[in-house]
Amino acid sequence: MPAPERAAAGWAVAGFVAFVGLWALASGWIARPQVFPGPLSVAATAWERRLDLVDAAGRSGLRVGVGWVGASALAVPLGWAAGAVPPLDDELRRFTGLVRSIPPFAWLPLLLLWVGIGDTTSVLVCALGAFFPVLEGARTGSSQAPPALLHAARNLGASPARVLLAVRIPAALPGTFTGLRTGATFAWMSLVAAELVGADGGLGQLILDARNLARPDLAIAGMLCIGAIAWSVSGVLHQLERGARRWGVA
Amino acid sequence: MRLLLLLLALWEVAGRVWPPGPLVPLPSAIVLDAASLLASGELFVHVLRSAVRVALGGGVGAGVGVLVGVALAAGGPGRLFDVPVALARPIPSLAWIPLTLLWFGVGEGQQIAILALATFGVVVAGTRDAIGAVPTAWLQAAENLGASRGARLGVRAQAALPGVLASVAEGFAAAWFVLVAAEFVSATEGLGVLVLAGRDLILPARTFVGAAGLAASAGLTAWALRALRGRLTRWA
Repeated sequence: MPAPERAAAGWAVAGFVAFVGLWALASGWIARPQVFPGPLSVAATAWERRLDLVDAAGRSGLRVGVGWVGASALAVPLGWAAGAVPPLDDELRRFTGLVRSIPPFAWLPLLLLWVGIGDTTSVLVCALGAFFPVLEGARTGSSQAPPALLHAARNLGASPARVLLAVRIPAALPGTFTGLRTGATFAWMSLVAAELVGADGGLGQLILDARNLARPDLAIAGMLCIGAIAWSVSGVLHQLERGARRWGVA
Repeated sequence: MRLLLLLLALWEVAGRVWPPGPLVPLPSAIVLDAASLLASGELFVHVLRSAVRVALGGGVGAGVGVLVGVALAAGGPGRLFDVPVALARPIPSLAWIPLTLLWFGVGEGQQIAILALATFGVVVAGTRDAIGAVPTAWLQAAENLGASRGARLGVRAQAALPGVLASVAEGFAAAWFVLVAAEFVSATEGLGVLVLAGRDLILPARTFVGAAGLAASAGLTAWALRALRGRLTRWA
């Protein structure tokens, strides 16, 4: 390892030690574990309640997964197709620009009114959260396909369907994966909001119950699970995105 | 815009032909509800309360975010913040709601803390990246021209400023984004309360009024911050 990298890694390790150390000291000094538990008690709780955490993570993961896949299955083809039609592309860009600043969980009260508390509502909120970022990514990628390649394919006699499949979609892949990753982040955030408002199990429900039972150690353990899952999913999608960039045509 | 108007028109016409019942509002009902809230001055109060929360939470989050982002970009001891920031960033700010409720209790401080966390996550990464993206050639040029350490720091700060201000604007957008969810928990006034009235008072039109108010407020904030950024970075 070269010296600057070694120094950076050294500071990172020192940062971790300092963070956990200060946390432990602060919790010892405050000495109110029902408000501010130390790192050891969080770790002990996480281990003791590991089965509950895994069960909650499974429920949450399933809801987000269904919502995200469902939204993507609609948004990706729509985005790819719209990107190929300039007037539609333009219209959709403005529309998503307007709608995107409204958070998906703002629709929770209506969904609760129409559908009621339950898995359907959570899945729908996740799908709403994922839909617009994925649409935006797919549409941007598709509309930015290199015109030279599109012209070349057409001049060589490719049919419109062939141009779409062989040129436009491969060119749109990197942007599409960026959208899928942002969509997953938004879906996950929406799920937490939905489960805080009301759901049967799941990590959002678990941390809210932990609050109601005055168990901050369990709440922090749940939050770390939420963060760890978000981080891993985003990491996997980031790798796919880099792969798409490498063998994409753009 | 045209697409939105078209969708609203279709919805209104379809609703007149096949009345959907009291749980699904028509665009005309939404406009009427908005007009009545506007006339009574209630809408103004809700927007104002939310805007104050966003200003406070966003301000605190952006301030701390810029400081920590600068520390991260400076390297050396600043890297001490690397691990805590890396641990905290993937956790959605809304997941802090239960813990902050335990810490701050139900009330204004807790809601502002959530908005500050949302802004912080965006600004800290944006500031770090904006400073990291300053071309080394500029710093070397300054050094070759005999600039002092302080002057080189000035070059760096000025070159990073547009990126930092852009991330602050993004941070305020994030605060508006999580606002309703933070207000669901305990607010008595604010756009989140309007949104929640859709279910709590069975006034579904009001959810749309709240959502539209949210989009307008976020848009206005973005516009104001863009204007400010243009003024502060006229050279860019």
